[in-house]
Amino acid sequence: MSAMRVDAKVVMLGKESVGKTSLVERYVHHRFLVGPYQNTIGAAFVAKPIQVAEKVITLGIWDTAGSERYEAMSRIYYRGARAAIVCYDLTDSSSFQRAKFWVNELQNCEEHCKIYLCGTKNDLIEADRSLRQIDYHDAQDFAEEIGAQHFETSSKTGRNVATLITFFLLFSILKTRDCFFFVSSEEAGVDLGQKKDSFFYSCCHNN
Amino acid sequence: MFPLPSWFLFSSFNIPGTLRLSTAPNLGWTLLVSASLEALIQHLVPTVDYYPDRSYVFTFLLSSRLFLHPYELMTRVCHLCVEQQRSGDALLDKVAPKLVQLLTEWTETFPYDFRDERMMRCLKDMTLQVARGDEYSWRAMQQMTQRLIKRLSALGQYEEAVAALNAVAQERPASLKSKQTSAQRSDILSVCDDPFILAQQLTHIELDRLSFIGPEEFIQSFAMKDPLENHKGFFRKRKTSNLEAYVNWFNRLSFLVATEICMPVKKKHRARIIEFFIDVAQECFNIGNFNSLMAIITGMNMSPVARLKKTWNKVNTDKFEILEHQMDPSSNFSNYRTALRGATQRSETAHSSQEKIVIPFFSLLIKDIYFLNEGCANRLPNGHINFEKLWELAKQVSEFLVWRQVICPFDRDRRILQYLVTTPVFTEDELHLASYESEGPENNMEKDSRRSLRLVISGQTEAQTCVCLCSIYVKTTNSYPPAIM
Repeated sequence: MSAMRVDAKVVMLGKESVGKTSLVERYVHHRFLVGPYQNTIGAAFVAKPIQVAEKVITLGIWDTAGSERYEAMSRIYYRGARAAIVCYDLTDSSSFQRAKFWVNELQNCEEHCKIYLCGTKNDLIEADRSLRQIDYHDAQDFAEEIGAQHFETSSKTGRNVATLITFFLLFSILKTRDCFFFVSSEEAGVDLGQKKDSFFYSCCHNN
Repeated sequence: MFPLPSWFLFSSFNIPGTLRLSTAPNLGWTLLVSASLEALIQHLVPTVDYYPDRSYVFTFLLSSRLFLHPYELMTRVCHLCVEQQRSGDALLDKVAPKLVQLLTEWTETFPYDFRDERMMRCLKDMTLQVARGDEYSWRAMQQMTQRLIKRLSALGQYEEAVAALNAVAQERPASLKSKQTSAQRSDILSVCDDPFILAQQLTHIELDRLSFIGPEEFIQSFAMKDPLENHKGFFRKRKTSNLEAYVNWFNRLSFLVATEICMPVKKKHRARIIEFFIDVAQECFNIGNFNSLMAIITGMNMSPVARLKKTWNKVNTDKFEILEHQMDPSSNFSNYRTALRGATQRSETAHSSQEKIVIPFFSLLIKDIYFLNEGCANRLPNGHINFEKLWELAKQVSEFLVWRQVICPFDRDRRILQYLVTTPVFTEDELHLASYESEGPENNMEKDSRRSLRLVISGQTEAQTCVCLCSIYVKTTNSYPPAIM
């Protein structure tokens, strides 16, 4: 089957040590960083081909980790991005302020960039509720105001990471022409709640 | 400086049994893969008939700080050295020259470790020990200490100079506050209108700042972050921050470029400045100064500059597109990495000092090292240290040390240098406002943004007037300091 290619650039934004790299790791390699692995020099830019039905979507994920102090550079990275995953640490309120700054930048400069607001380190909150500094509903309200999807994730447990990527893939596909395959496929209609797991399975475990 | 071709190779002589090695059969060399911390420390200690491989010395001195403080390492190495002499295994006069050699390598390559008084004291103790052996070694220790003190005082001067320059740059004269009066501020073209000369002066600043970064600063920032393996407070004590100073210079250059472009009232003038910086960027590329090149591209991409559509329409962007293509982040900056390899090859076979220059795009270098550290575990499941990772870290950092040594061949122009490092630049908010004053808001979002910026900035102005008045009384030294001229 000759698959149609869709290239999508994704940029990870967020304050230092909010967990951007761990999220990419979980996203791409289905694991949380614990052991040694090879070929790390390329890790800052991950090209991940994912097959969905008759399409191959190549996700070019740009992780800004390690270069956060280069403040003025962010536009170099998010220019032309299809999506931005703006991360904040659920246990660090200053990281949420910084996330708001990037959202503002993106809205001003990249109107076609879809924003995903992502609260990280949910496992810490589950272990100790008093650590939470960003209220779920406050973040949700902000996300609705800016028209973004909002998730609270844990790269350690994998919570919601699959949902995040599923939403993102759906968006990437639906944005391109002739691709209402979800709508027109046998069951007709997108029932995310039911289809999520099988969809995720098919797109991420088949290559 | 370091024997690069033999980087991964490791002589099989004198390797204690606890080191795990892998053999490269074709080459007849072995590669150290992992070992316990104890074995690695032991491996650094010279004996009568053993001296550690130079690349091992560099690698371990560089990365051991992920596991123990340099002072701890120094104490243990010296202790082991003295022990073997006491137990009668070795004669002091046989081991002393080798110990001096090891300490010389340490003080030359990682002089900043000796800002810690305890390290200095340990060095003095060893000088006394060695003095009992032979006079030659004692004299060598004296000379080494002299050179070290010189290096450390140069560092002190540099730090003071950077602080003074930053203070001058922070002074915000009234002329910056509003665009109407900005005509009073001299602009870049009035200071230097030759893109070649400006690129050369930028290269001076890059190499000045680069030359003060210690190799350990790359590793130190990780050691600080890991609470399990960090001895709290150790690195904070007289910690060097030359790496941060260099990052700040990049940010400053980006903001300076954006300020120069957003400031002029006339569109024609703004377009001329953009074209001038494109020429400067191109010359930086030719020189091999990728860091200034990227800072200029970044400045031109900042949103207050990028939104000036009418201005950009008057600019011939052909050259700029080529440069942007060279520095495009796609595929992890593959175009840039190719260009960097080219520059490195030119440098290795250089006929002139100008061809030797390679100034990497520094953000990517520290990012690569960051990912190397993030991606590989420090220890293997059995508790041994993952030495393959340490080789790789050392390889990255040693390449930087070769680039750092280059002496800048161009003539210095004090006036231009001073302008580049001290002239005030707009903040993010001020840039946006200046941009709206150059080309008005195009939609409601921009209108709202301008309104709120005006409120914020007029609030700040009063506070700043006070600061400006105060700074008249606290007059900072106003010239580019001779320490780094």
